Amino acid sequence: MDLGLKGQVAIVTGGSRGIGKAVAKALLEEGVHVVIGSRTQQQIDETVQELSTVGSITGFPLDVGERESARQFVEKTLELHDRIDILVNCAGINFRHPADTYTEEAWNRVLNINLSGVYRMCQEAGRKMIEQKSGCIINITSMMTHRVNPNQSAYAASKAGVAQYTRLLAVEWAKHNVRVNAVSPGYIETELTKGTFANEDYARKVLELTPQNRFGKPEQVADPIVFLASPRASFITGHVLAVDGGFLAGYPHLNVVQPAN
Amino acid sequence: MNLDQVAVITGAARGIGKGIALRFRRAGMKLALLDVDLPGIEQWTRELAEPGEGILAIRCDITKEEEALKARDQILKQFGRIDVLVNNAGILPPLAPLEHVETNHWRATLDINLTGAFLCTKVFGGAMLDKGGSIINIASQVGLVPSPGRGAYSVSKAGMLMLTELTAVEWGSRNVRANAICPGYLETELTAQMYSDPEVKRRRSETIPMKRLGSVEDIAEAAFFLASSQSNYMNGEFLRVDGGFVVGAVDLSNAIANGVVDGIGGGIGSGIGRQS
Repeated sequence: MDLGLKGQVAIVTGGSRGIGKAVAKALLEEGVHVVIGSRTQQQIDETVQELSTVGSITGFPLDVGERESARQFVEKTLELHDRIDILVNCAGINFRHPADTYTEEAWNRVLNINLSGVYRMCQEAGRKMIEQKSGCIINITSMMTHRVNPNQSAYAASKAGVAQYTRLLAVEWAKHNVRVNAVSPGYIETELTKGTFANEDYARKVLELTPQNRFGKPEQVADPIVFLASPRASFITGHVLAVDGGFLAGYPHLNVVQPAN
Repeated sequence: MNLDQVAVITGAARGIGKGIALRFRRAGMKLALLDVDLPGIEQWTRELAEPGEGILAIRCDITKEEEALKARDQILKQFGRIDVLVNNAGILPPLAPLEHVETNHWRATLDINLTGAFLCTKVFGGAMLDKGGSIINIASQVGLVPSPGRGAYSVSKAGMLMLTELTAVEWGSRNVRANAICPGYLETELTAQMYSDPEVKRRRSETIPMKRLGSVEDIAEAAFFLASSQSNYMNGEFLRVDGGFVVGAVDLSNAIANGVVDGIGGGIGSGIGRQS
C-alpha cells in the first residue's frame, strides 16, 4: 500500500492468531518491525516462523491480565527496538452465559483481559509514546460495543468500555501527538470463529443481517487498522470505526419482516 | 488500484472536491469532474500535466435529475464505466438563528446538500449496481453534533449520513458500498480568508484536541482509502477526520481539581485520589 510506515515499530497483542495475526502480517508488508504478544509460547513460535518470511517479526509471552507481564513485554520490546510507534490491542476473550447467572469469576476474567488489559498496555506502551511525542494506538472493539446479543453481558460491557476509554485517551493524549482509535470488526471468518459459524442456522442469520451477505476476512479488518496507524490518517483520533460489511447499518431492519402494505 | 477505474466527483471546482480529484489522479484514476462552475474546474485542470488525458469536465446542477442523467450518459460514453462516486457538492447557508432562518435558504441547502446527493446516488450510483462500486459521501462533523446558526447545514449533513447507511443496506448485496467522511475544521482556499486573522485561527485550533486545523489532504487521503479495495468490507460507516473535535472539543477537567473524590466510595476513593 505504501502508507509511509516503513521502519516503524509495532506491538500487536493477541498477535499470534485471528485478526491480530492478520494485522501483524499487514504491518510487516508495510515494512514495520512487529512484536507480537500472546499467552501461548507455541503459538507465538509458529506465527513468528510463518511470518518471518514477510518481514521483521519477534514474539514474547504476554498476559495482558497481569500488569507485570505487560510491563516486561514492553521492556523487552524496547530493549530490541528502542521505540514503539504503534500498539494494536487485539487480545480478548469471551464467555457466554445468561445475565442473571453470570458468575463473578467469568465477569472478572472477561473485564480483566478485554478492558483492564487494554488499559495496562496503553499505559505501558503509552508512556514511551508520550516520551517520544509520537505514537498511535488502535483498540479492537466489537459489534457488541454498538448492538446487543444476549448472553454476553461481560463482553458487551468490556467492549463498550474500550470504546469510551479509546475516546478519552485520544483527548488526553492528543497534546502528546499520540492518536488513539478503535476498530469494531463485524462477523469475520477466523480459526476462532469457525466453530460458531459452523452452526448453519446462526451463519445464515448473520449473513442475512450483513448487507454484503458475506463474512469478512481477517485481511479486510487488518487493512483499515493499518490505514489508521499510518500518517495518511494523521488527523483521525478518538474514532471508533466499524468494518462490518454494513452489519450495524443493517441492524435491525434488514432482517425484520416489514408489515404488509 | 485498477488503473481503468473511473471516479465521478461533484463540486470538483475547488476545495475538497479538487483535492480528492488530485489525489485520485495521482493514483492513475480517470476522473469525471462535475460542478455548476465549469470554468472553475477548467481553471485548475488545465494546469495539470497532460490536461486532456483521462479527465472529463462537465457543467452539472446536481439538483436537476435531467442534468445528472445527461452527465451520466456522457461519462459512460467517454469512459464506459463508473467505479467511484464522491458526493462532495454542497453549500453553506448564511449564519442565522433558527427563528430567523430564511425558508428559501433552508430549502436550497437541503436541496443541494441532501437531495443532490440522493440524485447523484440514484443516477451515478445506479450505474454501478451489480457491476461494483464505492460511494463516498462528504458529510461534516456538524452532521453528528448541531452547529447553532447553521441549522440547515447540520440537518442536511445528518441526512447525508442516514442516506449513506440506507444506501449501504439496500445496495450492499448488489456489489456497491457506501461510506462517508465527516471533516472537521479545515484550512482550505475557502477558509483561508477567515483564518488569515491569527486570533481567529488560534481560537478555532484550541477547540481541537490535536490543536491544529485539518487540511484538504487529510480528507483526500480518507477518500482515497474509501475508494480503494483496502476498505472493501467497510459499508455504511463514516470516517471522522476532525482531530478529535467531536469527542474532545470541551475540557471541563479544569473545573475540578485532580484527586478530588466525587463523594462516592469514601475511604477507598480518597486513597486512590491521593496517588494520582
